[in-house]
Amino acid sequence: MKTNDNKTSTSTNLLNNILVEIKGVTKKFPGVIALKDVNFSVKKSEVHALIGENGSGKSTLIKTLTGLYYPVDNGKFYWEGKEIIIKKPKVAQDIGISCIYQERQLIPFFNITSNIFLGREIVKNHIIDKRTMYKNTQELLKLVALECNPNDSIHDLNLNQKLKVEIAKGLAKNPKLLILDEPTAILSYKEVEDLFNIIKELTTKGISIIYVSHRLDEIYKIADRVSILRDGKMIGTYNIFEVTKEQIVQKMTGGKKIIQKVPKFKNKENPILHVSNISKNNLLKGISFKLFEGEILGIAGLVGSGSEEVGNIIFGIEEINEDGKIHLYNKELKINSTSKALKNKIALLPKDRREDGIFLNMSVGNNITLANLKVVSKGGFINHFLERRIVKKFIDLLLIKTSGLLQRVKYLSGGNQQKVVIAKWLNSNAKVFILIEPTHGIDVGAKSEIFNLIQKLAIEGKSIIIISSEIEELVKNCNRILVMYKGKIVTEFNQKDATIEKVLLYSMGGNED
Amino acid sequence: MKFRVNKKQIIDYIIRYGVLVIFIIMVLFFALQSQSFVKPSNWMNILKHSVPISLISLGLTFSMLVGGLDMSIGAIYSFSAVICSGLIVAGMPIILAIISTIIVGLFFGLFNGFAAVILKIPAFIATLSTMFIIIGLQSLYTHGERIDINSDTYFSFIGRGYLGRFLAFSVIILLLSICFAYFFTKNIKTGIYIYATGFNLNAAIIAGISTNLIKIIAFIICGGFCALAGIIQASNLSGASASSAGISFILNSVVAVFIGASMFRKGNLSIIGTIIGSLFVAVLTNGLAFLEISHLSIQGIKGLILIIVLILNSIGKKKFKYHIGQMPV
Repeated sequence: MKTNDNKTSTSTNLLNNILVEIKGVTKKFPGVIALKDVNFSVKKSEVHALIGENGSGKSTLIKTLTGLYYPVDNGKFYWEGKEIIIKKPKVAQDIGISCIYQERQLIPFFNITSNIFLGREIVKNHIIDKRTMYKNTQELLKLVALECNPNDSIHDLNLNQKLKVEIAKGLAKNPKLLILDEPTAILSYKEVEDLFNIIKELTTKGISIIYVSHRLDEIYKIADRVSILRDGKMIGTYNIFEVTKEQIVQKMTGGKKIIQKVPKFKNKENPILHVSNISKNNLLKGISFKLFEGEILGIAGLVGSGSEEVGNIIFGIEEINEDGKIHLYNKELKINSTSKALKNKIALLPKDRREDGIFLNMSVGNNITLANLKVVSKGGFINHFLERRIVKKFIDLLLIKTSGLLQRVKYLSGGNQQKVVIAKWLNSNAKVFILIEPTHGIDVGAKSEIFNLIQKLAIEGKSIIIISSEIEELVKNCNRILVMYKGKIVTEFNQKDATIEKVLLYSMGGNED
Repeated sequence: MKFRVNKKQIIDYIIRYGVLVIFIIMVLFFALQSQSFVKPSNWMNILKHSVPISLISLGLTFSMLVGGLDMSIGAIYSFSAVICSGLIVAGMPIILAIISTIIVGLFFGLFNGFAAVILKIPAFIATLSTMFIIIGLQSLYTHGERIDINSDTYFSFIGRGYLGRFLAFSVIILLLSICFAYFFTKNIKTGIYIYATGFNLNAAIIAGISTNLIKIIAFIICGGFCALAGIIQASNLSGASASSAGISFILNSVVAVFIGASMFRKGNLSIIGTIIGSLFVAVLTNGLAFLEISHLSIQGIKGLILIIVLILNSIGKKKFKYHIGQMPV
């Protein structure tokens, strides 16, 4: 039975002109099943869009194709009809798969040529043949319409030019399949158009493209087919003109019903925080909004929407533009450093808490009191009895699972680490809390505890901004949601109007035509 | 007309050329203080004295490129001088003694690389241990006594000979080494991979480079250069003392490498930069000696310069996201 199946699939592959096909692929990670029995195929010289919410398995799927996640737990790979095993990146490269990852893979101090040929230098008698490499690079740069000298240093290029160098680097391997992972997140409108022209040109040369993006308008402009992933399962593959934007979003979310459980907030007269006209060259365009006392405000934004930058600017990590203004209690604030933000009782929980939010090698107690040692000090000396009492209070309040206040934070789980960060800011007596992706890398149970905590804060009258790409969580837990797309606030939802599908549609640019 | 000055650019210039300006001022100052400082013979002298430190700094550049501050450079250098002298005294043919010494240096480099890369001991600690091991080996070998070589052999030509009346042979060895290092990092795959591994480990792995091997090779090259420096010094001094005076080369070489890094391509480690940095240190040592400043004070001044360079570098890092290989520590 099984062998029969394989035979038929091989013959139909040839007929349908299929370049790569994966069948029944399952990939497990400790605690999660990232891909469940996924079937997926790409035809020759087509642009195939791949979409899904965060954590739906897009990156996992790509990384199994490029050999970074070998071995998979189940499933088979076919390349031009023949079964293959992609053991490591080199194998993928050799058969003709090139991938341009979200994290840029260029070496800043090398010139364009060295970057493009990294790992595959052309040598003559063991000496690198710079002239041939230079010539080849010139041709590749022409292909991606980049007017640079191959000897230019990467350091001097802008983001768009760097992306083009990456594409040229991918093309240098003569790929049959080019994977682009969120390539347009940082590009301007014109640059995106430019990229699409290059992609079209490549498909006429017989190259297939897998295009990962959150932007629906782009997908409709460039893709031939679209595959939708949800929770590691392949929902389906459709010709792009067979499905509407609304249908795509509906398939991404699966029409989940959720229960909102947000405390009501009443005081809608006095805004605590009033942000107006924040901009940042390409990334943010005229962001203005108000935050009220006791309110939980969500800012929904996917990769490249600029939502994180908003938080960074309010907290003084990034410089504010000249005509942008931040008012706290009707008083204008000039926040140019994080310490100034803290003084004004604004606190921020960074996304990458292991790097930015916490001292892994210090104890739970130290971490909690560090942001405001004044509270535990008397006459300039730290009062350890007082410190103990305060830390204990927070550990009980936040249900932090720790063997004691002397335990080092690095031995706690992700969720408990996050709680320590929150406790730290609670101790600082902040009034406005900005949380960036607060549930990033935390298990389900801890997630709901964190949100319980956030609601407790709101009831106490603190104001909270949650900046996140986890739309379901925002819809569940926020009084109000602002949706950002390409650096602008495109719409605003009140709690009762917000549904996952609507918010997702807007954050993917689904309202634009 | 209003003249607008770009603040960023000024900081950029200070970082890139500040050290160079200090260098020029320093030379002028020494020249005014002492007549003999500017004599051409003194310049050849400075160059000759700069040979060991330049070679060691070249080696250090390789190890720092892949993210390891090699603390054992000075010890390898001292030990190589001792071994080379010892082998010659024991009657080994000179060319064989030189080759054996180089192999010993390469071996210590391999040892460092193995400890730092395969065993994953932080490079700083691993090479520090190597340093003490080598010091121990050295005192075992010498029993605390100086080893003298007959200065009539052609071995002494390496460190003390002149081609014509002016050009020191050791300087020619240095020039050849520089050419080799430059060519190696620009035109040979392995050399380019050393840079690639240091600058973006992830990208290097994805490009299919065996980064562990590359890192080890960088440590090996470092050991080789230190051994070469030791041989030249043994020839220059017609033997080697039992003391591990080479330890002070850690400071000299780190200063040289960082000065070089700050001058070139925005905080980038480079062969040429390292050589200029080494000359800087050599001129400083020589000039301060003319002023009859004690050895220990000279160390202090070098430490001070190192701090200034590092401060400039960290300002640069903040403003421009500079990046020195992967900084050790």
